[in-house]
Amino acid sequence: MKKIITLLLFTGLLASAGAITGSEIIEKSDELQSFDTQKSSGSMISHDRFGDITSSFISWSRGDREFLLEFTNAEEAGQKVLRVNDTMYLYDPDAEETIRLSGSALKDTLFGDISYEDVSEGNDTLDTYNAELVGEELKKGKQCYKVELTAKKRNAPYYRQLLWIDKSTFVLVFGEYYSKRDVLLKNIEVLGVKEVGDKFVLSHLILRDLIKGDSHTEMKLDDIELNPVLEDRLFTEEALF
Amino acid sequence: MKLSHIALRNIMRNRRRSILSGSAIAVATMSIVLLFGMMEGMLDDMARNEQRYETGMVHILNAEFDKYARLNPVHLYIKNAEETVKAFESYPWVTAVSERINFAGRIYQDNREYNVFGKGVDFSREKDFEKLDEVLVAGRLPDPGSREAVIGVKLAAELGIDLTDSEPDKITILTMKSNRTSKHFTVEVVGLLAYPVSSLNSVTLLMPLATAQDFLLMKDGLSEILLMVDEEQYNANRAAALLRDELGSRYPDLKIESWLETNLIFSMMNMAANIYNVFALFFFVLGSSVIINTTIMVIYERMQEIGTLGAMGMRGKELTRLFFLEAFFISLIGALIGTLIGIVIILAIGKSGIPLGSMMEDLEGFSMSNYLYLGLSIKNTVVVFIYSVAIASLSTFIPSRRASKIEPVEALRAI
Amino acid sequence: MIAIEKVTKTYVSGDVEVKALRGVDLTIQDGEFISIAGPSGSGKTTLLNLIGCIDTLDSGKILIDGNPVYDLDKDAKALFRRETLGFIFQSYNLIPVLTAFENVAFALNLLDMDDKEIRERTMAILAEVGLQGMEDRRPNKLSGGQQQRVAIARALVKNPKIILADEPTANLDSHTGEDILKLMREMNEKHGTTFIFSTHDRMVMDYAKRLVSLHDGLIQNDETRS
Ligand SMILES: Nc1ncnc2c1ncn2[C@@H]1O[C@H](COP(=O)(O)OP(=O)(O)O)[C@@H](O)[C@H]1O
Ligand SMILES: [Mg+2]
Repeated sequence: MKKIITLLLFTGLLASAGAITGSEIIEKSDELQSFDTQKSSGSMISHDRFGDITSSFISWSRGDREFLLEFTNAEEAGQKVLRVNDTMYLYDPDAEETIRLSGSALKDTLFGDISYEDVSEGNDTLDTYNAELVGEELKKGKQCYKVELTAKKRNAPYYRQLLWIDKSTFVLVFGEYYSKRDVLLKNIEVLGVKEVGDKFVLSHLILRDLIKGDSHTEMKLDDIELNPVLEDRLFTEEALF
Repeated sequence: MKLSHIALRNIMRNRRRSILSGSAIAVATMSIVLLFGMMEGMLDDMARNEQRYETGMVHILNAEFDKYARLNPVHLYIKNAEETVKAFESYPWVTAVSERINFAGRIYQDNREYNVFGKGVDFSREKDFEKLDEVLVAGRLPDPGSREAVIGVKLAAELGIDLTDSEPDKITILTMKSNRTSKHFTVEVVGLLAYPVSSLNSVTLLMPLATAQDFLLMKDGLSEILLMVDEEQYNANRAAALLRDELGSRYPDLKIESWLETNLIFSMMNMAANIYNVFALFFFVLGSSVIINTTIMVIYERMQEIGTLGAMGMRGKELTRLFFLEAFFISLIGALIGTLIGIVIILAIGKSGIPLGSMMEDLEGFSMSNYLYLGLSIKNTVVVFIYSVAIASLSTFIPSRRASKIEPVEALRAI
Repeated sequence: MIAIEKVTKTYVSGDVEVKALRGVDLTIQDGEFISIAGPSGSGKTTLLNLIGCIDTLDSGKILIDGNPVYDLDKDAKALFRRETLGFIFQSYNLIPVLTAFENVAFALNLLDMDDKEIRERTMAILAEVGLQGMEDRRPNKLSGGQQQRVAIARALVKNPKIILADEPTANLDSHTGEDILKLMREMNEKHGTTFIFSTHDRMVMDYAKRLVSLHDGLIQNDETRS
């Protein structure tokens, strides 16, 4: 209750302050979704013309730059994905070494429509993109800010993003991701948000790879634990083995 | 005294000129025999490579696979593999079987990526099927069920793999399991393969079937089944049609095709080989130009004789036949000698082949060897021989006909 | 019988017209041994060629046994020649790649005779002309006289009605020429074949049983000798 009030107050404040900028919206949205550490478990379901694939996982993250995911379903059991800064490590129990991905390899498919970079994108949006508020719209039944992000750095995952952010909660409702040639590559739809403490976690979302065509991938988080105590060792390559 | 006897003796009158005429035809014929031999050798070689390494003579795979081939549909594989293979193997004219799991993979090493085309195979069978003994140039084949692999020599060179040192050479490959999720695994390279098709050497990796089935979640599954058949009994197309008839309804999920049906490029190349007939025509006409000229000269030189024979009562068409036969025999002998020399050359160097160096390396998608083999096809050779004689004779028929137009009285007046 | 009636032949070469025969009338009976005599250019060869059916006349008629041969087409003339006429040429005109035997036999080959008969007849005629034992020689291994004997045998072997010989001895020395004429006469008497031969040589004319003199394309004189 208190939280909602705070939020309302906050929004009100902003509103009274007059024009909010795109950067401010993104900053706030990132802020609401960033935690020191997080541990969650969930599942990914890919739907395409060939059928459904379901995987379950546990993931850990610390700050924006460290992320670990371990598959728990039988088919992928033991396979792990670790991101430390800009490098991704894949671990497989049948391999004697990790596979280190960086650069364009991060665009390869991890699961369904989800690329490696999709699962690990940090909440450091403004480092990579310039944000601009381009309007306000009703999207998926919610009043939203429509914010356009344009890549600052050449190695940004997408050249341009259009994000619809709930005016009242500053949580992402819908996003579109464009290539340099302005081709719509992917979109993301947020179906569920879990409130944990004073933060919001996107707990149910659907990703569509529009290049692949008739497919989408769902991601659900079941248990979310914020700010657990995590060992430093957890986010090292050695710890994968 | 038959006309043909006189014609034969006339050949010897200007021996040098006859030899020259015959040689021109011999050279043309030999060239075409070699050209056809080359074509035959190339097609044979490509057919052999296609069959051994790509499709077998009969190719069996999931019926849906080709439709989605672009999307790398690893989940579209042959289930109940063991039972299926048995069914196909039960035909006595199926002489060899290859069971394969195919996977596209990538090796990440020192910030570089190397694409591999992996195959899980039953080495006890694959050895015969691909004649692996001929291509294994170092090390040994993997043990069944082990985490070992053999790879193409060029891939090994790029990866810096050297089997001669004591430490094991391990490579890790990122690929996709049959449930279309990613997977990587490590295998030890225990042998190197030098395929005649150089593009294979930079991508191929063979590993034990059971290991691949395990890694890629394809228990009792195969990507494809390749069959060799006894061609004495059925050619590939017939065999594929027969298998489709008899097993098609039992395995509706499978596509059963002959390698020619699968490989349209090859079928097209087979057809394109017809363009060589045009070359042949051109060559033969060129080769015949000397004998045409000779025939014209011979008729001019033997004017008195034409007059005498005419006075004796030989008719125009008989005179034409006399000169035509002379040219025909020269052509026949020339073509025969040319054909024989061509055959000898093909037999002498065709099997060992002419090295093409690195020329073929850029020809991706063509399963052509680095050696140019010459193949001897009796049918082709006979056709070339007949073709050569026919064109030479036909072209000398025109000047020969002049003999029939000559009036004996004018011919006799000539000195 | 050969009936030659008002035969003319004119050669045109460019602007020049040469009247080779200006109206020749001549009848030759079977079995004659007749010489067409006259200086060079008088029309001897032209006349022989017309009788021999290898040339065409401008006007007049030539009938051989009543057959209007001048009127036949090219192939019919050829067939007529191969059965009825024999030719002997000044320069022998043997086929150089064939042996004496083969040269003679070839005349019979054209007549579709069986090999055995060809062989017997060829051997017999070669013996008659005095070439026994030389059957397998090629023309270049025979003297001029011997070659002309082969030519006579070749003309005779098929038993033709008429043998035409255009200056048959002109290339031979007089002694050999005489031998050839004697042989021709012997054959004429033995086989009853009509011999028509041209010459401008006095000695040769002496062998003729009938001497027709030609001058500028006209018959000047026609005398029969004993
Ligand atoms: N083909 C020809 N073209 C032109 N003139 C010819 C031809 N043949 C012969 N003559 C001429 O016709 C005449 C008769 O020639 P020919 O019959 O050969 O005479 P002969 O045999 O008596 O020497 C000669 O004046 C000769 O020059
Ligand atoms: Mg004359």
